[in-house]
Amino acid sequence: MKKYCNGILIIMSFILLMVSCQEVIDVDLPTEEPRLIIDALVRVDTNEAFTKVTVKVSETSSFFESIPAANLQQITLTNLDLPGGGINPPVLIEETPGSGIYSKVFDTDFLTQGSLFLQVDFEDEFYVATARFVPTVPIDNLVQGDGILFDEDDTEVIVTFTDSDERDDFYLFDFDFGNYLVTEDEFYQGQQFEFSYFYDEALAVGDTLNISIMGVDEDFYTYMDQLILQSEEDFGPFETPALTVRGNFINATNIDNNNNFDNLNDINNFALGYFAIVQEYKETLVVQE
Amino acid sequence: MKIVAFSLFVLLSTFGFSQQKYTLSGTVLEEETGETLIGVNVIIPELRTGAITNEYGFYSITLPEGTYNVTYSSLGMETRVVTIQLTDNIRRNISLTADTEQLDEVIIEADVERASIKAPQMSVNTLSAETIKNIPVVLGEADVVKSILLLPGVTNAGEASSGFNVRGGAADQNLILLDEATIFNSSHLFGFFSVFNPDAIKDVKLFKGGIPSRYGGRLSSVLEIFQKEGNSKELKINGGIGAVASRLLAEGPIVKDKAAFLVGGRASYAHLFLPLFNIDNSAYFYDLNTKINYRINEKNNIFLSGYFGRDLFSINDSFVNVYGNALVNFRWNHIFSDKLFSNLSVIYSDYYYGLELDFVGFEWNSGIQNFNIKYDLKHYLSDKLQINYGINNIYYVFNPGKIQPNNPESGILEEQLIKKYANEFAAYVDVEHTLTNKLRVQYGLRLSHFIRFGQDELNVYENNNPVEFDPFLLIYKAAEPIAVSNPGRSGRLASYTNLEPRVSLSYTFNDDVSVKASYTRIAQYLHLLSNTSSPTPLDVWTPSGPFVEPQLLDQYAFGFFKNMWDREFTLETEVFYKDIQNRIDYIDGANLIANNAIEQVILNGEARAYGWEFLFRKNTGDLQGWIAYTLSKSEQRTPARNSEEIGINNGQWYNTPYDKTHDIALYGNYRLNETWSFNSNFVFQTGQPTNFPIGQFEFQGLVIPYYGLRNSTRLPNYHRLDVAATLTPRKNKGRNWQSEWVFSIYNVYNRMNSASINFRQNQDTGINEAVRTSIFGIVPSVTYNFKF
Repeated sequence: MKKYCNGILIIMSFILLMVSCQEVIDVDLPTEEPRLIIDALVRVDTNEAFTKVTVKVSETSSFFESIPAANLQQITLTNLDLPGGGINPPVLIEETPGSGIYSKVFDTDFLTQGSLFLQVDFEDEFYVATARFVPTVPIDNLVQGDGILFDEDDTEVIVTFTDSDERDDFYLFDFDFGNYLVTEDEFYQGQQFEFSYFYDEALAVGDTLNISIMGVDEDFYTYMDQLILQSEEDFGPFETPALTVRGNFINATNIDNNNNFDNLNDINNFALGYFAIVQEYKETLVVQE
Repeated sequence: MKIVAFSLFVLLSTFGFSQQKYTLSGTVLEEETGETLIGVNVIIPELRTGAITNEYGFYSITLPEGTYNVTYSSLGMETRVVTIQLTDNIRRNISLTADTEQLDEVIIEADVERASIKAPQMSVNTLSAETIKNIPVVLGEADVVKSILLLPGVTNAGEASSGFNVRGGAADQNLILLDEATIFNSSHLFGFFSVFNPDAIKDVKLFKGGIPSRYGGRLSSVLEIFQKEGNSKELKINGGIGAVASRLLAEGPIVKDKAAFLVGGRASYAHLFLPLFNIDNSAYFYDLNTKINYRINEKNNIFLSGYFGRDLFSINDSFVNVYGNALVNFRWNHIFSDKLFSNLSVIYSDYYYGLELDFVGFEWNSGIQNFNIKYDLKHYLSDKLQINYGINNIYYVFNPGKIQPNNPESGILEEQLIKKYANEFAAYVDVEHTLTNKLRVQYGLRLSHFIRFGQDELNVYENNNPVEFDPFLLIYKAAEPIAVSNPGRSGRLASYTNLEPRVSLSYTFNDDVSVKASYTRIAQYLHLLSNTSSPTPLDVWTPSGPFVEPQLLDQYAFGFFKNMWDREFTLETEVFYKDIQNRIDYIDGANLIANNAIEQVILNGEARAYGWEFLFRKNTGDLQGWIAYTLSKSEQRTPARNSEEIGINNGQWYNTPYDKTHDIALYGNYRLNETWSFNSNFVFQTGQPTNFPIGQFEFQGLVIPYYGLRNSTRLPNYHRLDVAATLTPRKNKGRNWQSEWVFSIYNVYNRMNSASINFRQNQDTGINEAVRTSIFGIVPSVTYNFKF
């Protein structure tokens, strides 16, 4: 629901665009010390017995520079609800040295039950996050539409799925090419729901679109919603306020639960990114005339 | 209430009543149209005293027995001197004729726009309909809101942004009154135009401080607009054809000199933006003003007025958006005696916002309705004492929206977001008192009382705290409700009472020099939920209640006023300091749209603003105009509520989006001859505070900029120059059909002012870039105006 409202804002921005002009300019930007980024979205296909967990780590850079990979001291993933889960936790291994991509293959059951705990050790600080597997529903139908929103070149994709009426659901859709959409079932609880997504980019006939639906919890839904907004171009009166989107990693270096229970004394020491484990259903669609 | 007024009366009337006194009262009208005139100076030269006609053209002055050469004067009107032998109470209605030899030969004694030296009222600016029409604006549409932006202390968030900001205040802190009725959204087309039809306007007054106690409910300013009543002598039609919109206004007598009507319409051309897109879009607005007035007799006068305006956007029928104001207003002026004038207003107003999204299959209708009753009395006790008092009650219904499926196949379920109900009552006394020849004071008190009634569902939170702080991630987030109560509409969720004292005083050194000081306290019970840089029609108003406290303002202002060189020039300069409690602030990532539990994403903060304003004006001659300069600061902060939190923005002060350090406006009007006149304005403003990213990160292929502290950088400075030339053809003379051409150029030197700078990844190249959006470059336009 919320996503659609944000969609409205974008549409209004387009109306303004029609009388305005946009130009790429040079701007001097303030900078700060690099900060760790942890991209740990684990997409699980429950039909598979094994799931490869991949975590990408990098460091922030000034907006006009490239983002360098980070080199970790260690990264481990534990299931806290398994007996002895905290002892000798499984370690993720960097795929190629310097890539910043760490992975390991797990039993799918290891990931879908209980509370998972990810610990990242970097430059003598350690960052931790927990996540639980969130289920979802499959896509019922995926077809290309011939509707247009702004432009003749728009490609419309019509997605149909049936919401579960047993729980409050939050969904994340990956429409490929870095296009994401979040929605919650507040206004279609338990219904079969159909909506259209319009691609901004010019798609060619024969392009394959990998589209997936993922189940997310409310916190991750909010995170992705903000991330999408901050990454989108919008401007003018409908501009969303700029903000730093904080994820779920806690800098636990100084928390000893004895003298220090929180991070109030070191408010600027945090990592960006998110750790989430989601169920994913994938469909593909080949773009037609 | 009455008792307070009465005891004040007793107290004050003990001041010197030794000589036999009589009252001269009446109404001042325009000869040609029968329209009442606001702000006419009624001067008694023999006693060096005077009065001013009120919003309904009525004046009353009590003087010792004697013979006086009473002078009636007003801008653009020929001054009339009437010799009156005051040996009894006299009712004298006066007609003034429009000064056709305008501004050339006749020295205008009183200019409504000029600073009033003696009156304690300060921080007020008046614009005549004439000035508003002369100021060049984009696409040639004369515009009230765009005109007041040229005054000191008034800014907005830039082009194509609705609303305006007064003395560092937010746009929701302006009380906008159209014929005494509150207007919630003052813009068409997201701020390109204001909703007021310039042809129907009689008088515009902006109070920035020293706000008299008869006004309340908004902290920063009062923009009071009075519309014409309609020509009671003969049928007149005028109109204009412009680049974006056309307008037509008809007025005339129903019963000559007794009843008149006015109907005005304005519409923009549909499919305004169509040429730019080869698909079925439309974007247009229209508005309709109607007014009927009936002078029953000398003592009673009634008005019925209506306003209806709508904006409509449609894209391919898959997106349809309609919004606008509607209001009906009945007023009754009753003159109890020569000294006691009253007005009763009964107002219903409605703001509607509707949206249909076909590609999602839903429809959304929201709005605010309010029912407003006002009863105001003006008691003209003597030439030295006037007491105004009255009561006001407003009942509000807020509908945040009803969501419905727009077709039978849609999966959307019907849902009514929770409606909110509230009542605002106020009673006031306002005394205008001349203590000595040099010292005048205006003081008053407003008692306001606000009740937030029950609603269908209300969340209950642990420790009554709807916003939690995460001490590890250091972010605020919504608290989970522990229960949902159902107070029902009869219950009261919260009530607030505030006493709002207001004092202004002026000390006059001589007829041309004075100093003034004022203190104002105002409570505001409604809040516009908006975390964008300027309001959008989608923004929802929310009443104060159990989690949202009323905003409270204390404003102090001090000013110096001087007429110079035979009153050809005036200088007004003021300093002000404002302190606002309970200014709502939004936690990072707050979602305000369709949110039933807004308390989960807001915190009560505080705001402050201070500054210096300077206005130098040339009032007479072929060249008229002004230079306005404002130096100011506007900030807000939301500190931690306890030691376990850090507050929003780490609890530090940060610039509000409308903090403009320097604001310069120059306006000039030059009358070359009877055929040609020229207008020009220049505006310079410090760039709007904004955020530039201090870095970037990547997540699942998305490139996301991230930011430091709030509003710590600024857009580039804003400036532009506009010019306009008005051609009045010579053949107009001696014929009925009067016409003029207005040629204007907005942003003459084509400055690309930044409406915003956005940081994004280019979709084609994958390279990060900063993109500046400018709304208007140079915009020439032509408007044709006519009347007959």
